[in-house]
Amino acid sequence: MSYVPVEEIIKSQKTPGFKTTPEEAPTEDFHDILFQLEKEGELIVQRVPEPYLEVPTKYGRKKKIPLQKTWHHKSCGQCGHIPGYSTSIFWINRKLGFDYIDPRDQTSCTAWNYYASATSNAPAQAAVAIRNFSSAYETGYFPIIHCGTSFGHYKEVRHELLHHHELRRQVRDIMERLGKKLVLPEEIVHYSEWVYAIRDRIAEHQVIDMSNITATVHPACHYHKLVEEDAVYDPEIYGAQRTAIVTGTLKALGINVKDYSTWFDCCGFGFRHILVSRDFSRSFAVQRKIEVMKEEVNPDVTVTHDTGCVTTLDQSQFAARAHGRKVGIPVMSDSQIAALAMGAHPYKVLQLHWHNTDNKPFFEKLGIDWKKKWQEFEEAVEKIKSGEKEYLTWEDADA
Amino acid sequence: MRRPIAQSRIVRKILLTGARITSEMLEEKAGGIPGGWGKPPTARQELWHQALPAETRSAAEPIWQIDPATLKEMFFIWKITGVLDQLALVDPILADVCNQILEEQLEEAGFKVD
Repeated sequence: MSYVPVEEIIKSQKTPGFKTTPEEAPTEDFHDILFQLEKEGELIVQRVPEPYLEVPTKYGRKKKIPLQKTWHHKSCGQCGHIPGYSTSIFWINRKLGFDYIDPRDQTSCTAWNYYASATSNAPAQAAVAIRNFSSAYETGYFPIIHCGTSFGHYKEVRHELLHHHELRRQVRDIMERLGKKLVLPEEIVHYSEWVYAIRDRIAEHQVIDMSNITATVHPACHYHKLVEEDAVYDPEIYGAQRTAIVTGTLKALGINVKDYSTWFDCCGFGFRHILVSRDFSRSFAVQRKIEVMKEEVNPDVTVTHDTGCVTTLDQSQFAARAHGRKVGIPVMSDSQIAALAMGAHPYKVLQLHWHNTDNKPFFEKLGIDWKKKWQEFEEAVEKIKSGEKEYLTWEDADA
Repeated sequence: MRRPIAQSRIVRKILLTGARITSEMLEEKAGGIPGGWGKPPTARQELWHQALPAETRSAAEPIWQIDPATLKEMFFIWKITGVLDQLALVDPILADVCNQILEEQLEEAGFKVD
């Protein structure tokens, strides 16, 4: 009988100091095809603007992350349900003095329509993606994607475009009729990769000590399970056996990150389930994620990096509580907790009043007077109500 | 076969806004304490939508602001790639309504759809 040293193989990869070798990567490096097609005049590649940082991906390749000159591709769900998610991203940019654009020339990626209703097709999805990329290119700013779904979807679109000449021809024709070019960015960057890349800079500006906080992390499926070789991995985080995204950021802020047994599971959102089978999503979020975290870690907060994940994990706990389930973990995005660490206002910037699960014990553990902060927010809202102000300005947010 | 509610709901919302997919989820419930096991009074939500500092989001709608020309470009893509024909297979009435809206908008914008 032949012997396969499975345990030895696994052990060697889990040993601290495990190194990935890009030359042995089982997947293609899309850059090779991208730049070849550019040479052949098939498309335009928008380069990552300098200065940029390089972060390691799953097989040890490097991914360029722009520091600034970023074009912010917003998320449908963030704006509707958790507006402080993107507000925190912008606030960090401003605090660090980075130049960026919050564009009006951006549509939804329409991936939710594609996955939930199936009333779309490859040319439509690719054309919507390229229209947005082309709009970013026209401004000279580099796209950075807020939504995990858009991020994963756009990477799949890129894969299709790089491998299918006929699809490129169709999309190029549509773009010509719109007066646009077929543009693909050199990298498709998720905002949490930007947060991860600048985590030390964020930590330099940290004013709230978070060393007494224990957190769990939920990595978004659309981030690390679609075109997975393009996700950030780090030998220092889980021995490069899991994506380092979010965890690396929290560790830089001094937060104690704890593991739990259903780390790899979906949050319950499931792309389609939240829209067509919401009860399933709610049950999954509670029973496979929140209750497991509570039982195994009992964290002060759980942190994730996608619209759907924050919303599903947070909003599902309300109903479960009524059924006496073991819930009660506040949920935030990495941008919100990073902004909070840098001194952002919990309501004017983080907009935590849109969240559902009780987060006051978390504030109290951090020594933040949430009653005072809420009063400050209410005073700002009263000025809007009285007509003294039309909306909040960035100056108001920091007042 | 039961048709998922989301099919027409999502298409309609994307078509009309270009940005919003789901409806306003917050509803008035017991509690009303921010971030504390309860939802705010509905009356405050419009004000809260204005109490945001981000550039494209200072509006009393749970979406970001989109240039009208941008929306029409997306309409053009959907029309020319046959998305509405696919929609007609699952919801002919909605497809008719969407077609009327799109054709009017595209004509105004000077787009010619073959």
